[in-house]
Amino acid sequence: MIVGEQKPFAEIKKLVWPYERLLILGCGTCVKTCFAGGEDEVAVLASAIRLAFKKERKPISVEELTIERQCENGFIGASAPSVARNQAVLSLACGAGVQAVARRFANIPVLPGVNTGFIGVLEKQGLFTEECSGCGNCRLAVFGGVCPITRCAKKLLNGPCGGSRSGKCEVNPETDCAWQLIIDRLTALGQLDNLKAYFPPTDWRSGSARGPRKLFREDHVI
Amino acid sequence: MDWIPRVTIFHCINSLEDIESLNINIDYPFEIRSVKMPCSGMTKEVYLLKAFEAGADAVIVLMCPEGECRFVEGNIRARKRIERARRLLDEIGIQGDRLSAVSLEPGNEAEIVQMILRTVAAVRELGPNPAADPASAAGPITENSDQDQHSLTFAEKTDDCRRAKTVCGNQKTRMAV
Repeated sequence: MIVGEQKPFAEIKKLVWPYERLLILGCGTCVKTCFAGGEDEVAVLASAIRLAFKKERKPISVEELTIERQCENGFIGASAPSVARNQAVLSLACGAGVQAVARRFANIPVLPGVNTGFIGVLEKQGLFTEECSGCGNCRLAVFGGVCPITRCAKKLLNGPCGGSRSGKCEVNPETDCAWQLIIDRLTALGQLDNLKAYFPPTDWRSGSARGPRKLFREDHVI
Repeated sequence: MDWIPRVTIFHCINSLEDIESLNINIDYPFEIRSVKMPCSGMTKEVYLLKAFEAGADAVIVLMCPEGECRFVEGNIRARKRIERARRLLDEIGIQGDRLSAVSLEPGNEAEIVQMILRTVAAVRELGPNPAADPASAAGPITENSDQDQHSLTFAEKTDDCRRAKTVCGNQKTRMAV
């Protein structure tokens, strides 16, 4: 899922300050799971904004709505009546959701309330970790299901750097060394021979280096 | 301007059955509202913020001591949410000190009374909630006021909320702004 966190309240307050009728639009998928933009977070932020405006004796009307996904036009449509009633939309979706909503409603400011972080997993309750860089050329089969591009600070594909200590990364001692994990995992799988393969310098064009990417599924287009 | 401090107390029914049973004697008036919870683990940030929106000058969450929660970790979760809400209140500019978490042994009513009185004293120092709607405030005390300044004003009190629901409907209604 996409992992993000809500912007600092002071920044959000500054973004919404010019408006008197505000829609806070939550997203019920990824950012809900990471406690950044689901129904609960929308309610808390709405209350906080009302309190901050009341404190300054500045009028504000805050409408709350959470839709299933802001990155799909089919779901965004459900917010149209609410958007029409307000002067601005504060989107608590990831950057993709904010842009999709802005594209749908051309005549109203759509403001980001979340800083989008990474593609990650819920490792345990309250802890989200980055696991995928969206490089467009997945090699997890070789590395025993541990991605060195994302989880190794140096993005090394041909073995460890030699700087790890007790299984921890020399860049950040709180991070597991990806190569330690890879070797442990391949040992357990009996697939250490995978590491005999040589990876030439990476062609990053399958990732974001070539500019924004598109995926076109002709079989789904009428 | 003098004003009547408003305190909202969210309490786990295992730490305090009913606020009406408390014997509070104080030489200045204040208003107290209570919200019963089956466990302090039901505490959510939005309930706390909405209490301030509704005009509370201080909010207390009363919970069982750590290790004594019937739901094992409800009070631990509550305390973490309260800490987060306190930081948010500071960011909003209405002082996180207005929100407090208190752990007390069940049946310790005298200590609960002392805790409420300490909170009222503290909020008198802090002054009124700066985000309170003037129209909903308890209002200044005047010479002609009918308020008995030695009595406790139970302005509103919730009904029993023991029905096990994710969110108590009564609580929701009570806190709606």
